[in-house]
Amino acid sequence: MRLKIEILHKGMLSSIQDIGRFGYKHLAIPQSGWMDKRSAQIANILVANEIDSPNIEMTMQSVSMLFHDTASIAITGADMKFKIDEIPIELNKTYSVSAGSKLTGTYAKEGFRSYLAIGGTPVNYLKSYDSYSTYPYCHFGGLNGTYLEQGDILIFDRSISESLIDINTEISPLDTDRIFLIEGPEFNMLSDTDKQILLNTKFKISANSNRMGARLEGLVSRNESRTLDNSVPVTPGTIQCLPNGQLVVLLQDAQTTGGYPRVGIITPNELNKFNQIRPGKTFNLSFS
Amino acid sequence: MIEKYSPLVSRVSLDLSPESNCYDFSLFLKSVHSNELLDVIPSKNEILLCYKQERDMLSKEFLQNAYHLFTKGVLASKNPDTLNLKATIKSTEDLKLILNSNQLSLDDFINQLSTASFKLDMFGFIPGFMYLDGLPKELHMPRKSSPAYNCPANSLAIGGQYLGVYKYPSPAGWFIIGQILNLPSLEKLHTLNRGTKIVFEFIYEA
Repeated sequence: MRLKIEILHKGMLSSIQDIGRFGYKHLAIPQSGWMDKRSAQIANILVANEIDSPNIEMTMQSVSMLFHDTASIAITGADMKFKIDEIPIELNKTYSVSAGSKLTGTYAKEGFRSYLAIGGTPVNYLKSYDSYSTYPYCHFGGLNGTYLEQGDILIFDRSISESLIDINTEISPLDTDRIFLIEGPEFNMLSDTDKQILLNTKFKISANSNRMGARLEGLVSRNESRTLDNSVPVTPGTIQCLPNGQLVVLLQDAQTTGGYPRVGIITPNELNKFNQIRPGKTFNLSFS
Repeated sequence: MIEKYSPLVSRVSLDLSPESNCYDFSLFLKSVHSNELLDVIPSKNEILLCYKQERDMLSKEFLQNAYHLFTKGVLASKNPDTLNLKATIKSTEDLKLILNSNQLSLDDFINQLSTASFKLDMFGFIPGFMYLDGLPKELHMPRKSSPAYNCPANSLAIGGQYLGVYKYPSPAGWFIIGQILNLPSLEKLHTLNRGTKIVFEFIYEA
């Protein structure tokens, strides 16, 4: 049985993501995938989808959509004041949506990214290098290799589940005041003073950030010789230090190699937290 | 040979000696240990092995033996291909910075670039990005202090000791010197072996 959903408003950088793209980094194919895997997988569990199946990642602003058929949905992550037909709904719960209903929302007040799972198997998503994750720079995955757009139609096969899942979920909120990291391979390219700045500065994520990397506001010292002779492997969570003193946290769409010192690494669980920090909110970095 | 073995949770970083063929050794490991390895990320002298599970991690001794096996000619029989590329060199701000920093005239720069022999050293950074060996020392240029937010697709750039090709738009820490006019598809690029000769026809656009 088919389920059709129409995007009425695209939100901001809303995209289809899944667990990510693995096994191709030797070809410099980025990992991509959910920025907050924990929240995304909870959403999938709530609608009885496979835990790593694709769902919709919303950043800062909600999408609006029209359900042409009955569906079961769940939303996790940031609260964007979601409503079904003007009736507020809660995060971390499964809802049945009737044909003709509209899902709407506003902006994230706490957190930064929400995940919408829809019960069923997507029919018209693009699979690239074994993943449905959208990587717009190369038109990989997603609906047409790009972010969602107004008028897009999502089609699902509802053979997996039509029933509501009764899970008593108590999802603890993520503490994003402090992000734990471990020393990166080039940590000692930082001076002692810079190491103190790293641990004592209230950092903010710059607005000039995207799914590839988050530039942090809160500089360490400028040092024009702080580059590497050769590019080295990097992964999501690597913290690079640029010669101008800016720190860049590489995220899910990050490159696979880079030529700036890797002064720290945010581990995957901590990266889930980091990716829920809104630009402008302060946080500290600490060694785990 | 493997000079340093640094395990970290379910990953191992290998530092290889400078003369090692890091890129092809990575492909060798990936093909032989695909059941254990989630991903392999090669670079000039370092390989990051990402394992599916921590318990699957291969020991340093095992990998050292694998490297000896690899160097006994497993991949030595590949014949290098040739890729012909046409590129415009443009008088960009980045090019001016290179000329200034290296105290070169534009004629010197173009002459040195045109007479150099390039070959594919590896893919890395983002899809389709090629690190090309063979850039004359006089044209080497350290990466930018802060990467540019965006460079156009098919950009030709200099970073450190390499000439590089940005197949897709990207932030760029390298210095953009021109544009490639006939870059093949990503799928075609992925068929190229390390060592492929890259023969350029340069056209200067003022």
